[in-house]
Amino acid sequence: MIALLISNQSGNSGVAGDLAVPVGLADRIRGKADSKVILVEYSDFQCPACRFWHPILEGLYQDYGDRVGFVLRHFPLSQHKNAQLMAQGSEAAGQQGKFWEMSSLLFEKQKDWESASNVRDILTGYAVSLGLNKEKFLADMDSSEIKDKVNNDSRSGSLSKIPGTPTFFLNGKELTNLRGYEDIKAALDAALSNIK
Amino acid sequence: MGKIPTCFVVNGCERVLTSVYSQIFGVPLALFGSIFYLSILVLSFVYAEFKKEKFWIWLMLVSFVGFGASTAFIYIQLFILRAFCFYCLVSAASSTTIFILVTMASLATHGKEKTK
Repeated sequence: MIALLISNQSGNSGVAGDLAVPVGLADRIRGKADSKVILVEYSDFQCPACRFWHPILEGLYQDYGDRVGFVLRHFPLSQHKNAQLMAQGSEAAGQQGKFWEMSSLLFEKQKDWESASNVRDILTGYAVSLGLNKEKFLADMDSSEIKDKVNNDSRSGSLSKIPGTPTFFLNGKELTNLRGYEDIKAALDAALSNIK
Repeated sequence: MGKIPTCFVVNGCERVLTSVYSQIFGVPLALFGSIFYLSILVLSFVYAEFKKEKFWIWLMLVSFVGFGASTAFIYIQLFILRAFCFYCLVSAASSTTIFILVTMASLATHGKEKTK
């Protein structure tokens, strides 16, 4: 049964869902924000599978950033005790224009903080290393505005009945059975050729 | 080969326990679960006390039903609801363990008699 949880080989086939909450102004988006092709990722900074996908997403952003909009929505899972705080940290960094930089850093350093007890200090250290204003970062991180942002993202994921993280939606339709870069690339290519 | 592992929602108790699959004719499945565990307990004691074959057969039957139901619930959580409830998983693990133990005990001690 544990094996079922960890390696769900054919799990989602045939039950792809729709994105319940459309991409809007509240979303963190990079690449071509006004593109007709938008990829949404529900992510959890403490999820190893999301860390695995992170470099793939970076590659896709490098290759398709001029044509595709990339959205990251938070979906911190309850079994990951530091995920919620890290999501707030990334949003606080976003208040100073470093959302994506902080997100990358959190994935790259996931092993350093996932089971650490002083996660707040580690996170603050990352903020400082990115050149952020420490006081503002700390104040923003615990603000209700940022907590609401993370909670709203998470709620939207629940509304879409996502099975976990990462879950991808391309133009509002869930992408399933993804194995890596090539599968998302194929989906993006198909979507791009449709809008021409 | 295959899909990259996902970090699954395991705090899906609300989604699971409020779904249409959480009850049968308005009776919550948890009640059936309690009856199941109670029957296992009672049958085990009764069998230990009286050593009557029929109680053992009932025990096998009940544990098999529990195992089958658990399998179905896992399937529903994984493929239909796409949310896991931790307590349901623990119950599925325990009912599976009961089934395995009962089956092993049957094979070890009752197998020879049954094959007649």
